[in-house]
Amino acid sequence: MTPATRAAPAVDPYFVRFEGRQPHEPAVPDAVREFAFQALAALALVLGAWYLAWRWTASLNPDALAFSVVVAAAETLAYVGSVLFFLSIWRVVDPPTQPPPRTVNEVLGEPLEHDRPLRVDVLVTTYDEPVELVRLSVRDAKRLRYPHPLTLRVHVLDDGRRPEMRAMADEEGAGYLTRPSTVGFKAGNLRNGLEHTDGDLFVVCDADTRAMPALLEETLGYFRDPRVAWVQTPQWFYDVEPGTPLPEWLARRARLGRAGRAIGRAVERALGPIAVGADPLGTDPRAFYDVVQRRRNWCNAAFCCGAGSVHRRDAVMETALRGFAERVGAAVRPLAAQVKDPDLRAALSGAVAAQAARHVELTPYAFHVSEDIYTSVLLHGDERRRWRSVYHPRVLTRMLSPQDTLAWTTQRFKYASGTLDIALRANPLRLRGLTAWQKVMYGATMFAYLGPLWTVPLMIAPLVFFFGGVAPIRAFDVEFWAHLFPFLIASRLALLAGTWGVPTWRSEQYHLASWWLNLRALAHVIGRRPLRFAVTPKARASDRRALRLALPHVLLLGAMAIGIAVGALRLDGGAPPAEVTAYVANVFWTVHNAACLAPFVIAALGVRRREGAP
Amino acid sequence: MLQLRFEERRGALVVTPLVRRLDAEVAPELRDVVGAAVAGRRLVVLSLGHVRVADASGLAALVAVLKRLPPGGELRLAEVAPRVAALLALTRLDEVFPTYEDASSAVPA
Repeated sequence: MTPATRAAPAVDPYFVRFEGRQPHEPAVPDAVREFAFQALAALALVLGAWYLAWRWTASLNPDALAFSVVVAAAETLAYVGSVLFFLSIWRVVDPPTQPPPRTVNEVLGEPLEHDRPLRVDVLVTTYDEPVELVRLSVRDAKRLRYPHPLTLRVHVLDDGRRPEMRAMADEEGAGYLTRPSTVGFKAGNLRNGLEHTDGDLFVVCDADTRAMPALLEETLGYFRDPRVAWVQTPQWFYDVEPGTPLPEWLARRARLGRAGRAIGRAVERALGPIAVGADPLGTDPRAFYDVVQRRRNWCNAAFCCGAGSVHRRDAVMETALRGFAERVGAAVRPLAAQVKDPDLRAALSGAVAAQAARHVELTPYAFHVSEDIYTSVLLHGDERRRWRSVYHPRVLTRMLSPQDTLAWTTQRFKYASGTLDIALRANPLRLRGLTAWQKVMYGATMFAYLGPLWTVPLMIAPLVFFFGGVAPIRAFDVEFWAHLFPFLIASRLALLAGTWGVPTWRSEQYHLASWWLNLRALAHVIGRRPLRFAVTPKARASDRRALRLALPHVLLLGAMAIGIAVGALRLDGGAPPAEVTAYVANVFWTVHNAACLAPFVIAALGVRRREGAP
Repeated sequence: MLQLRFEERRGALVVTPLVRRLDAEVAPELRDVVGAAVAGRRLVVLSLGHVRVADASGLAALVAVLKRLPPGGELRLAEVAPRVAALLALTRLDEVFPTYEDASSAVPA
């Protein structure tokens, strides 16, 4: 085939219209804004502690003590979540850029006798994605630029064992690797790739990860520090609906003309850029990368996210060997300790080790649904090597977003159950090799997935009030507002300053809207049910399945609506002002919660994102 | 191209890689060729007298060979150079592979 005849890949080409889109530049760090954030965050934390102290000592409702304690406990957990979140985004320190290394010896701690150009493997993992989608990834990988001689090899790691995938790899001049089983899923696939390649560094790509030409040029310089084990770049979903800028939306859609545009601009000046209708599915990971990951850099806690990352082979393999040896050693030691004679002990150890080794996997990436974060923890926690990670703030790869709520749920369930499983069974907080700040960072990540423990009681509390007439607090009076409002305002402002220039509202909404799936993940992990590695679907699900996903949300929204009505009926007939205030407060809180849940339901009900797509 | 020398010594298979570096470059071949040769062997000795340096991928190939031994089989290392020994210690593989001064002492009389 000539290049001309295969120029138009036969994939559902909905994303073609986003082909020319350019990624956003990372926000420029600003010392004044960072100081403002830190001051506001500190203030918010003090005010929050003050509020909670009052809450526990002076506000519990004696007529409904158990209910009051549950809600106050939920508020306390939410506060702990805020403390961890603010600490985890405390400061931005981007890594100093380094010129790309000329040869392999510039990235090695112990140079080779005969220096040579660097070898880099691009590993594109696939299982069931369309061949033509993978072709795009392979082509882009082959176009990577580098200013010095470089041995670049692209490999398709196909766990689907498809002849047509092999044919594509041949056509594109890429390597094709497959294996007899799919044990270990992606981690096992990568292991097989690493066993058959010899690059000093390797790039991990998912089937739809398309590298931009500068990927290596911009990231390999970091490896001049021989302790740098991997460089993660932001994952950019280039097909996410961009929405309409607020001034434009007010002027045209809301038909306010010039006045609308002026109002929109004024609002944006105060709050930062706002796009109406952007990212309806809440898939855009920008807030996670630009805010969370970027701020983990300074204390060496940026973790690997499984795609769009460059790795030092030796670091990964060495950590794998250590993990393997520890597990084999654990089997050998108790037996060897019983033998006094040294020669006999050596012989016995050898025999037992060989036997144990047969049952222990040697895995560069742990066979775990969250193999990326798991491996990051192991490398960061390696006391002897002190491996470093780098988060490079500029987008250098692009990929496709989950296409509907089913795909979204599959992906988020995987993240949630994987992270919770690590928290329960291999908790980083117990690793001696991690610094205190690294523990704060990993702690914040794990704690966030416990969200339902406080979001669910806090969403249900107003319903109890509406239906049962019971409040978790003595009174919704001036004293209550005087204690709560300063904290709320300070933390809103801190969040605004801390995430300036990055849209976060959708993440907040979906954080709350994840209550059901996070609850399921929690039950799943506590119940020790096996974690499956589900491939995030790249196509849309049937409407009925999507509807089922949204059912808990629909029920909750329904209860909220009925609750508000029932509560209003209760007030009927000259209720005292205190009860009216209590009602208003609960309505306000419920409307906020409903606004967070609604986008998920709307998305699940199938508001078509791809108008005009075939 | 990885060069290997295979010898029989008192019923054991002694394999000597004729390379200075046991690294990612030779690892796939080592794993495949030696891995195939150890099928059914009770005792295999890897004599590393020529090897000056190893990397983690090279050692991973040794693990792959170990895993292909039959039940009851054993893999021993001989003539391990200091830098290789240091990496074995760092990765704690010294607990997995018994090491001997030379191939003859690795094979029981």
